[in-house]
Amino acid sequence: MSENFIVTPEQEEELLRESVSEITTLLKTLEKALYEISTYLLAHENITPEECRVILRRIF
Amino acid sequence: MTVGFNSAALDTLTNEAAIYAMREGRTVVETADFEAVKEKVLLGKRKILSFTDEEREIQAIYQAAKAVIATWLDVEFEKIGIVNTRLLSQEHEILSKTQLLHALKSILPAVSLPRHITMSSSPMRVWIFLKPKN
Repeated sequence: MSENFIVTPEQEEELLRESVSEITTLLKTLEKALYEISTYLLAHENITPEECRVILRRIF
Repeated sequence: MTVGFNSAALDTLTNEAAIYAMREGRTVVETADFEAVKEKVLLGKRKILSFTDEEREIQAIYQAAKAVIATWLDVEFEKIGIVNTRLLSQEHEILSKTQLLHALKSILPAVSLPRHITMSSSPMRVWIFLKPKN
């Protein structure tokens, strides 16, 4: 029904472990976008959310 | 935009903005060019110059990972650069668990990047960002 406001260190660790696992999978899936955005950053120093979206839309 | 800049900083800002516009293939410098290089002049210039090419590539991949995840999970950010990350602060006082988790995930790529990433020029390792395995 509900969750505790205060989490235990074990719950914290589990939450982080799940998040890291999810992000790792996501980064593998989005590898092409990662490459394109890092290339963009090397050329332009900064990237805005709009530019990120354009790159992601072009790939997917 | 330039509050606190001395004349030397203004000079550098103008030069950097002009170089940026030229890189983009334009002959006119726009306000956006100044915005794009402001951080570099304010706090990042020395840092960028002190990066080796390999360190710069690693930093670009690390920041790109943040940008990819933030965009994918709809975490708002102003811009992400090689030397800094500008996430937008949330105006709501109450955030859902999902929103908090997404914000957390957008700064997690440091421990999630694949072990080997190959850029166009040179293969390299990003192990320095990885948590050591126990």
